[in-house]
Amino acid sequence: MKILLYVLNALVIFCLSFSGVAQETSDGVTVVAVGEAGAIKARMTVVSDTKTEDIKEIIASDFAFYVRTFEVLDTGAPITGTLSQTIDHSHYNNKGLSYVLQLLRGKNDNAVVLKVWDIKSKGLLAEVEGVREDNVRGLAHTLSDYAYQKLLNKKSVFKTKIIFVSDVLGSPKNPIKELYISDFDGHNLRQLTRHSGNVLSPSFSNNGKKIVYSLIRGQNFRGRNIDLFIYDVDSKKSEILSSFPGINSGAVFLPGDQEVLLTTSHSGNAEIYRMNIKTKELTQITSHPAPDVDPSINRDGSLMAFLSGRPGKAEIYLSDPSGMEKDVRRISFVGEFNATPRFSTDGKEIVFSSWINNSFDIFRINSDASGLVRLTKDFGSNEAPVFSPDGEFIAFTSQRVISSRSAVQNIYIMGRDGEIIRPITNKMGNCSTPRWSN
Amino acid sequence: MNHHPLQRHLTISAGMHVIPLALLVLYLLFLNEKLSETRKINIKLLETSVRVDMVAMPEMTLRELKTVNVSQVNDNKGGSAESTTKVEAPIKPDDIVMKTETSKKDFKSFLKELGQKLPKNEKKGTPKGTKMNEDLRADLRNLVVAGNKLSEGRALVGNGTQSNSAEFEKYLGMIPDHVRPFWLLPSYLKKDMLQCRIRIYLGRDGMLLKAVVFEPSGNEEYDERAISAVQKASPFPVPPTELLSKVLNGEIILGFPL
Repeated sequence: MKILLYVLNALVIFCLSFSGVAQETSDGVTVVAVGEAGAIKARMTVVSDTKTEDIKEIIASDFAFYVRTFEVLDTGAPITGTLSQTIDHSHYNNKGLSYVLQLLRGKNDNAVVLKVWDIKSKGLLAEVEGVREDNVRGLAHTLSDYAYQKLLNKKSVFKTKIIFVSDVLGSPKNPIKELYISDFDGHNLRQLTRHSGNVLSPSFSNNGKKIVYSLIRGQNFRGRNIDLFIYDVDSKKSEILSSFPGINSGAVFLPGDQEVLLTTSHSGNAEIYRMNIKTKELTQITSHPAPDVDPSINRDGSLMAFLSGRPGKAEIYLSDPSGMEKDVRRISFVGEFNATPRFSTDGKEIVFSSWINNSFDIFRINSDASGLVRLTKDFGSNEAPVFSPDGEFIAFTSQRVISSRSAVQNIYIMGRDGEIIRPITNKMGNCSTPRWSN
Repeated sequence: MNHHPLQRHLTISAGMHVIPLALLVLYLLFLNEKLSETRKINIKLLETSVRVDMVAMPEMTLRELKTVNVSQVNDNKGGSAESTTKVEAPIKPDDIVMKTETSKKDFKSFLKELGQKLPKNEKKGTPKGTKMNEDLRADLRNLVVAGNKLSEGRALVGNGTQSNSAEFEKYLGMIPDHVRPFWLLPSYLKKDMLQCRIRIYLGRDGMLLKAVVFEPSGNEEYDERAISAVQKASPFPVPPTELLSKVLNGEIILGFPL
């Protein structure tokens, strides 16, 4: 027994020395890695001349989403300035600002110049010119993204889109749920499908050119099969991708956009399959008497999270989707009913909703089953979380009961640690299943 | 010459026996592999299903936990080093294999306690109540630091058999989580992938005696912020007596971030 303990002890030391926490150096000292630093908010503001005020408002509202990184101060009245002038650095320095984004009319009326000023170093970090077209918001988001990239060396969410399902066109007698698309901030809203049926579980392709979704057709249609459709963003056309008897739903694109993972029930039990979009060839991924649904994939396609009834209730599992039942492991061990697991882009975290105290709330867990945290509470019933492509935000639906007959469900965005930022839908009926483009 | 046909028959016969036998052996090997595979899968399944659901989902949100965390840390600054000793997770000597349960039960009951007692205590403000608050906060801080995880259990071996170096590893393991809340950078320093290392000298009560730049990052502000994080993190967890010489002699170097 003692020997066993010694062996275990040695094993633990061995493991610890490889865990990367501490590392012995040659001269007897030990280096301990503290890890990545947290962020101090940088104070910033956006200023403009009278010609570019509309764009200023949009850029300021864009940056205000990054509550963990930036504190956007009031933009104030328009200031006059010429293209060659510098700004009053000491004025902004006294206000404790780190950055100022300045908008100016360019050489002609349609041109907009953005200057990114670093107040600390009193320097011009970057300058870019854009041209006004029909879509002013698009131009503003592009300028915001440009400035964000210059400041932080990484992509923002400003140019991303969100798709979701809304029942706003339906009535209690004739429920209709169609697919909609908007900018990440909820503006620029457009309806994508006109099936007069019930659209379910949409998902973007990695390049943003295709959308897959499922459909329960309306009342005038014979049969209630749930078929899978693929929508082409450019041609605005939908076609059937999969129509096995029963359910064809919960599809997500694999890297490369040539294949999707989907749930079908044609074998008599809900299982997850891989399907080639061109050949429609199916490869089975899960095989278990319990239902397996709702696949989500990490960016390189090496890990799949899904919901399974294996333990007798819905829990989250991971597996390697390159084979059938390959490396299946359970990662959630608690919760009465867990739903809709979604990977972060780097594949290190999963957000999901779970039934707790008579409503759904959003939780986050690391993909090694550690670090389970609760993100929402006392905020209606919250479901269908999805990470933004940069991992900084989570979009989700939140339902408020208005009376015993009616409730309203909107799409909200919160920071990754649960900082509620704001709703992005309004007066759109009940909105569900938000999905974020890359 | 007479042997010739016999020999041929023998070879054929031998061949006819050996080949099926070989095939049989191959088949059995294949079958065995298959079986062991399914056995592995079964074991895995068993492993996963054995870990029963002993605990509820976390009641408090991450943000709630964070606010408690901060106030706890602030209390620490003013108070004695005594409260820091409480932070250490109690690992019983014979807490050997059934890992998750103890911690899970603790967590659940502690959450229950928290739900019931915290508001009352705040109202009453009795001395006993505040003590409970502190204990809870210490527990909570631990929880935040541990990321609220369902631990696989660290106590594979009892304390009695732990050697000095294992003790040191354990102590070192506590330090990153202790410093990280104070390790903050503005965005303009975060984007440059800088790295520096700070050598720390600790007293017997975990107080920081000295912190010096061991390997500079090349950016003064970055180094200063790292030093400031270390200073704000003092007092550190109280080092076990047998490690005093190590921490006094500055044998710990903190890597920011690595």
